[in-house]
Amino acid sequence: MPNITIPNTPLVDGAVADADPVMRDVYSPNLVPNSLEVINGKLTNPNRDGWTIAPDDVRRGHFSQSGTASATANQDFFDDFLTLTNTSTTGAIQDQSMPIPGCSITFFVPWQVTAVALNWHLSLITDAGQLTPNTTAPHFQAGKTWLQLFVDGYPVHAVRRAMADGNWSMAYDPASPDDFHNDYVRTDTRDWSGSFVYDSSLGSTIIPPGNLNYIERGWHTASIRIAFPPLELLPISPYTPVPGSGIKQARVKSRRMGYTLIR
Amino acid sequence: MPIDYDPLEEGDALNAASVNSRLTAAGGAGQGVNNLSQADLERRALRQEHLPRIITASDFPNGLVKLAPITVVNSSPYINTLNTLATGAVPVPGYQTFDLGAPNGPYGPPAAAATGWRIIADSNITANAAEITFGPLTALTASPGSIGNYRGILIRLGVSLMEIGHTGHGPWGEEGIAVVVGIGWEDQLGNRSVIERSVRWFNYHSTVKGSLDVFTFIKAEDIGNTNQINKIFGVISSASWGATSVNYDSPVIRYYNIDIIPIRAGSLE
Repeated sequence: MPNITIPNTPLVDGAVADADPVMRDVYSPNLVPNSLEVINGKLTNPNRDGWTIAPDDVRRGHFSQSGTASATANQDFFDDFLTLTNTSTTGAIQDQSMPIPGCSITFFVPWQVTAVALNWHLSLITDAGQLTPNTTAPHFQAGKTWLQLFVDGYPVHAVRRAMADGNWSMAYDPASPDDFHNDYVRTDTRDWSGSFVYDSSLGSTIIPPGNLNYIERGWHTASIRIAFPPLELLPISPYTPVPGSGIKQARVKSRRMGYTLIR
Repeated sequence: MPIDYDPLEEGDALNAASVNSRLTAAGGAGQGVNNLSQADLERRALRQEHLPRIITASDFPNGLVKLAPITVVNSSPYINTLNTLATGAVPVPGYQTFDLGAPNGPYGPPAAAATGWRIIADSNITANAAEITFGPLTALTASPGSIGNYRGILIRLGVSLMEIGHTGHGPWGEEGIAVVVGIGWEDQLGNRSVIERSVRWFNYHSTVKGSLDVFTFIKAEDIGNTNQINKIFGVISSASWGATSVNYDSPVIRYYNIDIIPIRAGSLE
């Protein structure tokens, strides 16, 4: 609310006295701040005379608030119910991706803020079902796990990662169960330490019109969701995918999701 | 200042002027409730409604975040390297060298092998670049140091790695081929620099993970006293610590996101 403007001054000597305008200067509960009634809890920043605000003047949490969720127990996701049926940017990706507990958070925005900053980390290993020990295979060929940020249930497409397989540490040959396929050349556990900022410049490119804006007052969510795209749906360059193969299992290890409100 | 209210007392004139002066003292322009001072308030009396935003919107007219477009399936390989033409056992990384060669350098993937950074930009389109223009904000290095109204600027960059092109294999191990990413900035005159402490090497036979994430905190001394910063961006290249071969493998990336978090500390004007 801006500074008040008292409309009925100056009174003019010699004019007929009218009590109503004078009283409206003192008390007139209008949307337009035009009386001293703003003292009743409606003073805002423009009513300040420009003095420097010191930490003693403010209360905790009025410039920023934050929170974090995390988990450390191993959590397994299997391709039985996480395989995407298509890779379009709507539909399947929203319906078939699964939030990762511990890498998801619900938080309350108490008033409109300038931005919401998200930070997360997760570690996972994927098993692409490799059954041939120590077979030379192009890097990244066997499969990928899709991880994607969702805010208020909507996918942020530019914040998607295809985590290459780290498969052979988990795989074994059923014909020879003692034969684990450790391949020390290939990478193993994958980590994603990601970040994202939502501000008004993104607008409906992230949150479709008609839904609660992410920086507006209310409850909001953020989550990293997981899905397994079949290899035939992945871009093939520069490798040739192997139809019918792909991620069989992903084991999510430690994970964390944090938010920070920036007023 | 406090409301300096002069009450009407017996014997005072009750006329238009006397009423006007008292209303003006209570709520006139720059007076009374329109001009409250620190002494008018109890300690910790201010709530969020009374406070300015800590980020001045006019400082960042293009927002605090830039995302890659989702319409491009796959970016071309970034075949620029930090040390393509270097010789010797340990090539010197060109951390301040930008590939300005055609087309559209230093933005986007280059069309031919060249030395230096490329600013990440899908399909070589500048508008799609991992770059945010703002300010300009003036740096003052005198203690405690500031960039505009802020103590510093936190920049975070994330890049989705799709593949590493097989144009040739370099050595493995600690001298192996790496994807190198970092964060740079531009001053008001168009001079570009890379914050060297932001540079991170991802050797693909060991630690490339699918997500290349870096961050840095830009301070006033990075900009220089009274210099201005008006743009930040993400850079990418491939490189090797030990090889002199030009047959570097090239990163193919897809998504990226870059954001700014201005850090404000101390008192608010």
